[in-house]
Amino acid sequence: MNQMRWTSRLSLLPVLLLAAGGCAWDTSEDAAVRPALACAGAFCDAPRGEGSPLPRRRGTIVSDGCFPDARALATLAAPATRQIVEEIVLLCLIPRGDGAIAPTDAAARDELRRVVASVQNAGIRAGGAPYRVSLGVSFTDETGVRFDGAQTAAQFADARVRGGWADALTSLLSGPNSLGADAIDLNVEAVPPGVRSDLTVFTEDLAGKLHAAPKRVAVNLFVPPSLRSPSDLPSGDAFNVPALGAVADRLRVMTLDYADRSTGPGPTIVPGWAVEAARFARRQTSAPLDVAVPLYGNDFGPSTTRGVSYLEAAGLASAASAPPSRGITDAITYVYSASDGVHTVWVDDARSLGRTLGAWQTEALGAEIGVVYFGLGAEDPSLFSTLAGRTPR
Amino acid sequence: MQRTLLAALPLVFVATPAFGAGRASVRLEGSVGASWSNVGLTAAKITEPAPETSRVYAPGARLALPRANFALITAGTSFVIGDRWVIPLLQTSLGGVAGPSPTVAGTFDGDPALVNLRGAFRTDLGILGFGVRGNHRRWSGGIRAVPTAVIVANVRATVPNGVGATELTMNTIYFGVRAEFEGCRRLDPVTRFCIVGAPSLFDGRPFNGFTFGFRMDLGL
Repeated sequence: MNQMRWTSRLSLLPVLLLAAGGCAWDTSEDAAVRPALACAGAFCDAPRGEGSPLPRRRGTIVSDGCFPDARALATLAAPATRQIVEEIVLLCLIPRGDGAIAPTDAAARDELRRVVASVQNAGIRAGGAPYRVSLGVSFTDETGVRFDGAQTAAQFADARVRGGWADALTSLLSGPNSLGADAIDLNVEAVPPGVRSDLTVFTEDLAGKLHAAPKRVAVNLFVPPSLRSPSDLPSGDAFNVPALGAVADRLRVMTLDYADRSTGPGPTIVPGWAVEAARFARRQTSAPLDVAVPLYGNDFGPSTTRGVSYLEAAGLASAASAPPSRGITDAITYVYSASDGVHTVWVDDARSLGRTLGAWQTEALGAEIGVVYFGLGAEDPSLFSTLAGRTPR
Repeated sequence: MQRTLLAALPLVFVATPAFGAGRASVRLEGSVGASWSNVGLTAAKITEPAPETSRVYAPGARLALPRANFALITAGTSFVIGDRWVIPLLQTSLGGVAGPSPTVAGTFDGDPALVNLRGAFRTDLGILGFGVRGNHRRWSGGIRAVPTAVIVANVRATVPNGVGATELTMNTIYFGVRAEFEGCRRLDPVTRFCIVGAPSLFDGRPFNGFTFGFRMDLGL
């Protein structure tokens, strides 16, 4: 199951296959102003705006990257998005082996400061309060996308490096040249269980510094969706959830990538599994919790699995003339043939995510548990308006 | 409220002119019939033992159920006092889901569920109600209220199980009060044919269903 690889799945997000056979132009008279995306099967389903009201939960969007594009910013500036989302996490910052935090050059930091302000203001443009913006720290190697758990563990074990990271982050978040963010999210993946105590010490140190800053900065943590102790996940035991929950402001249980190479093709999230992961986390800590829902899908190929956006998945299905259908969770799935063999795609849309959030009635998942929408830009374009239409104000 | 009604029952009898004149008769009446019932079902619990799934369901987790139609056969016995007061002693109904009952979306312990009522069956058990009837030549009309337990069994729900799906079987029981309105034609001194309409005053939730059918009352 989940191998703690929820990020870096969408590095090819800009590849929207609208032109790869997925986009057809109607030649009828009024079609001159109404281009239509050719669709098939489940992709043609109208979003289900109807249905039982969704429980109101604290919403957070995670952008797997620093700089949301114009379309993503437009999504954030939509009133429907602001109605159900309070906070945006930008996975931007990368720790380096010398104790620094990238980006380190002044120009990049200026641009990041501008982006943080722009995202905050998107909340105002949406007719609400400014979004809270959290800067995510992805503990990747310097490629920015690859998690090297052994290298990260060695760096955590070095008190000098750890201390450098904590000082650099404190400076970036609360120093005179602060980036202006309201919180920080630590995204540590693929690390061995041996990093447990070092990770806890680092988080305690960082939280102590950022909580004591003149403008208090929240410290949040992505944690794997373990169901038991010892953990059923490779990196699960690297996280001392009771100790981390005692110092962190919020733990985000990353209930993503349920199906992976070990299970074979399947849905990106199974709602009941997420509920059990949240229950297990709740038994260990009283800290505020989130569970995650995917805005992206997965393309399971013969040798690799990669993330796909909704629009890419729709384009692929159309280009390959693959008839999509829906699984038990209402997620869309189809099979297509490529040069390297048979691929199976699973992707969620507004309907399936509405079904997931609707299944999380408050007797099953406490109302205080928030939702992280992971993968800004990869979502079904009608997602947030559909969810907002079902969520009481 | 039901308890208050029962406590007041003897006073009502004594106050009737028939009892006062010493002309009251008491007889036992049996009835058989059939009915069609549409009711909003209350949540069902999983039937034990739970099947093998990848989930550990919360104790007491319940499946929200849709409205459903049932075809029922009914039987019962009542005391009839002075051909006016009716005390239903025992009423039973047995039947199954009838008519269109599409698979509908529901939820079970945080999972989406597809609920299929086809094959579900229902048993009603009503005990010790109270009623009154008025007679006009061979015609009569009346009303009775009967506390009723409703059991719906063999409800099936398909839920996710890992990357696949599995089917759970569930059942539910709930208690209500049924008000029965009847219009009857007497066929002989102790046999009557009745049309019965029965809104559920409370079946898990208020005004939660309606039953319509016929009944034959037979003297015993």
